[in-house]
Amino acid sequence: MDSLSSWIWLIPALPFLAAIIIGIFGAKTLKENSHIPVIAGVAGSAILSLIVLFKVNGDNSSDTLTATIPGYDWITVGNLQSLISAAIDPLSAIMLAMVSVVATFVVIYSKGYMSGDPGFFRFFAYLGMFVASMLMLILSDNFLMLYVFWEAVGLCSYLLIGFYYNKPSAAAAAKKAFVVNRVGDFGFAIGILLIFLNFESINFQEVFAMVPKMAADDPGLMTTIALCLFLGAAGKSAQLPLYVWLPDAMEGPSPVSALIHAATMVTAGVYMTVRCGAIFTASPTAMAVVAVVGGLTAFFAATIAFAQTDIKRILAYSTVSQLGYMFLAVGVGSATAGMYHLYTHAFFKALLFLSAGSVMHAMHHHIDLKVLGGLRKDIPVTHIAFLIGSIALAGLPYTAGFFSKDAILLAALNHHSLSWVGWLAVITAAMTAFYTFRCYMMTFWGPRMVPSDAHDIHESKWMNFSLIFLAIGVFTVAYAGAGKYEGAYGGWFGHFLGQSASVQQYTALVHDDHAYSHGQVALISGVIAVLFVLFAVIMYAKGRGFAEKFTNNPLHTALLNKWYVDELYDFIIVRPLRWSGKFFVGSDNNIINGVIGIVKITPNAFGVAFQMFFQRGIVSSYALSMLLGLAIMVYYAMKSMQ
Amino acid sequence: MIDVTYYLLVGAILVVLGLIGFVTRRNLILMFLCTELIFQGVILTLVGFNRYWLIETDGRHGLEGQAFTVFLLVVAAAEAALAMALVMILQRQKHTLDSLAYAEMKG
Amino acid sequence: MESLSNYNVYFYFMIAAAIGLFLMMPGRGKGKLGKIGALVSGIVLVAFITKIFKGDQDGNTEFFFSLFSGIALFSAVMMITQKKTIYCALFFVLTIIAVALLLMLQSAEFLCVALIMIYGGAILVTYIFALTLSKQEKLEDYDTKARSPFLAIFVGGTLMMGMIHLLLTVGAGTNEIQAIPEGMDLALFGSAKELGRELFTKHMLAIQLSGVLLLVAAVGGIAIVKHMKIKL
Repeated sequence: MDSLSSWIWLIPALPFLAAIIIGIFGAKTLKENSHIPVIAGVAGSAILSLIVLFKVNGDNSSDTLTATIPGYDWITVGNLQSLISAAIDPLSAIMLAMVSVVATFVVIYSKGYMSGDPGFFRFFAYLGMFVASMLMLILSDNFLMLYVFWEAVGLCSYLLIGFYYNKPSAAAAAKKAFVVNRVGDFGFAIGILLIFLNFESINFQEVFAMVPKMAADDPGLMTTIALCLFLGAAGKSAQLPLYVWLPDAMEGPSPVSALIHAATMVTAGVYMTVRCGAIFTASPTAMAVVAVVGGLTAFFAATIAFAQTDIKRILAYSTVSQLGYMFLAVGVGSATAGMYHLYTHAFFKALLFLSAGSVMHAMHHHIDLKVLGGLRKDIPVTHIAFLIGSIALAGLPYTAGFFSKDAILLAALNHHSLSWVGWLAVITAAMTAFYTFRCYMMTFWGPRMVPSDAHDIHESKWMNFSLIFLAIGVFTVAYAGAGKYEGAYGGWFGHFLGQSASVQQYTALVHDDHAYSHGQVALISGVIAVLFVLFAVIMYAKGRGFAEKFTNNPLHTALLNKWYVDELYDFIIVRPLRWSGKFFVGSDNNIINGVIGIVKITPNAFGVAFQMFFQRGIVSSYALSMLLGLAIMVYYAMKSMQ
Repeated sequence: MIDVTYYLLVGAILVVLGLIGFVTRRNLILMFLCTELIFQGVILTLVGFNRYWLIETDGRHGLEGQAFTVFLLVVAAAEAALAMALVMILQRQKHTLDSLAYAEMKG
Repeated sequence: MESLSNYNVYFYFMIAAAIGLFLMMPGRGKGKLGKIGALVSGIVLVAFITKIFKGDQDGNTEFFFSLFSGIALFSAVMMITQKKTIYCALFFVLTIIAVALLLMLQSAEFLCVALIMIYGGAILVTYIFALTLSKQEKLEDYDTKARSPFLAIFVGGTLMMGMIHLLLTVGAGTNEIQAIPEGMDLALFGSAKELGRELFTKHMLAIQLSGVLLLVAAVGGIAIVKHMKIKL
């Protein structure tokens, strides 16, 4: 592992350098060539990450493959010691590979998507910053470093969501994302503070080593810390109740949605939860909370996705739902299944978003299904890519989504107390299949409909390149985890990941009492997926007329308006804050200024009084005062000479 | 011989009288005149001190007090000339010699 | 001289003199009272002088001293209490002459003459010039009424009493005149020759500077009134 130390830092440094180069030279010099440094940087990171992955995989010398590569001694104050150092174990190696590979394809895609945009260089600079921050987050060795880069990816997300800053809706969405994330980060910060107070260290290794003893002493503390950390994860990964920012974040360009809000940033929460396995597994209450919240989020978001007409919004709610699946998996103890789903989801969701972007590019930035449809002959490559992505998302048998979702369902249904969440997840899987193919059918089949200002419908070759490679990637990763199942941890993926110390905390929890066998679960999920896909296909094959009949009822209206959650938040939180702000301003202006006014008047009054007696402007009276002074001095001299 | 104390006494009384006059009178020119009265008192004091104390080693009597008085005369003359010029100008502006009319620095 | 430490008498003298002075201040319809005040302060003055010099042997100098200082004090008092400004100026001339004669008593003959010439001849003439140019046809309000006389005399009186007390208690009896050294001609002391030698050897720079000062004052005086149109 020591040979890694020399160039492990290149992995985040390359995109960062690219961003700086563009930041300095992009405006004047590079302009339309700004993509070259970033593509080079991110591709370089990808190659290096893959090398790291192979190295870690091949190094079977110890049971726990963990290396800490010290970097820079950042803060050492008393007990607080935060080194910028990298933790390399199978978990971080997998994440590094996934993030950098998906980022490479997204960056290549962006060249085609963003060409001609006046903010071209700015976009690539922000993307480079983001990739660098995400990679550093994955490599973090202690909580403080994790928090710093957590915030950094949040910042880059804000910058990229608000990329079209002239649009008020985009600016508002960026603010919303940042503020809601802040609420989550508040919980995260409290969690870190509690850890520091009780464990007197914030280094992962040290903290995790001390957890068993602390849990025995004070189980309530573990639950509190775990819940606080989960609040941060819920903010970043858009779970109930902090998911409201993710659909609005679709105001950003499609590559941003693909990279940040499907594959990388939102998965940071899941990554953190798995990394802190020791803390979570020490508290069964927290695990149950995680699982329940995940399951409910999955169900809730899927219901909203039923009625949306904006393709990107459908995909956004689908992301929220799938993230819920991942948390459900982690909550019932199968971190491997959760990570595997994260891995496959990154690829096919990125594929779906990029395809949606391609549709937008062809349709002159229209993305609402009300104005477009039946496009399969106009944009063939996009059509095939979207189809592949939809198949994977719906979980049709023997696709990537099938294997990962299957693993989750298996773990959930077999849990001793939370199997009801597992059944909820099954229902959600059915809904997922339906709405995914509803979206696909409405976009590419049925009567052809294009918006009036969409001329010259074409696909960019840069975009096609990325789409094709991602589609290949979807199939590749499918079979990484396939193979012989033993429990839910079979295949290369499970075996590899199972060697990480953090994941082992989870695997130690699960007992193999199979209420449902592997084959039974696979059958249930496969049949449901096929059934509901056919249902959607039949319903929309001839156009939308048949489905329109179901839209005139209050349930549909509620779903279309996202269950009025945003309005609820506005009523409960935003309005009281505004009112209290006005109240404080008023009281500051009137009450406090009034009190100060009294303080102000008093010296004035004194001054006026003094003025009237002593400062009349008459020279004689001044001379009189001097005379008086002189007399006093003489008197004083007299007294002292007695 | 007269003690120097009496000269000082007379000088002190002249000074105080001049001060009282300065504070009391309202006419600008008279106010200046009273300052000259103060000068008289001072001259008496200076010369009194000179007469009674300044014996130098080489047998001469020092005369610093009288030299000081000469300079005092110079200054008083210069001051009187300029003061009168200024009073003239002030009178042209306000047509009165009342010092209370010049209370513009009030407050 | 008799002992001067019994200064309670002077205290009463001062009270009486203050009252008299107050009554003499112009203004507020004090016509008859003013005359009474004049009488009172006159009596006090005479008593003051005779008290000091009662029963001494060496008569000449004391007599002249008392005469000249009496004239000086009398005319000073008259100067600050007159209603007509010209009278004030003229009384001031009298004061100057008295002070000059006092100086003569102290063997400063050059200064005596210089004082009369410069003060009486030049400065006072300037003042009288200014007074005349200010064209007061009638008695103005600001001449007839004194400004806060009570307060001024109270404070001034306190000051005077303090000074007198200091002088008579602290300084009494310790200031014997110093003997004239052997071989010194008293007639030369204070003469123009001696004063000239003093000035031009030890105070050369100051002489030059005062010359410059006079030049500056002359130029300044002209500069101030240059633009003034004189209506005669």
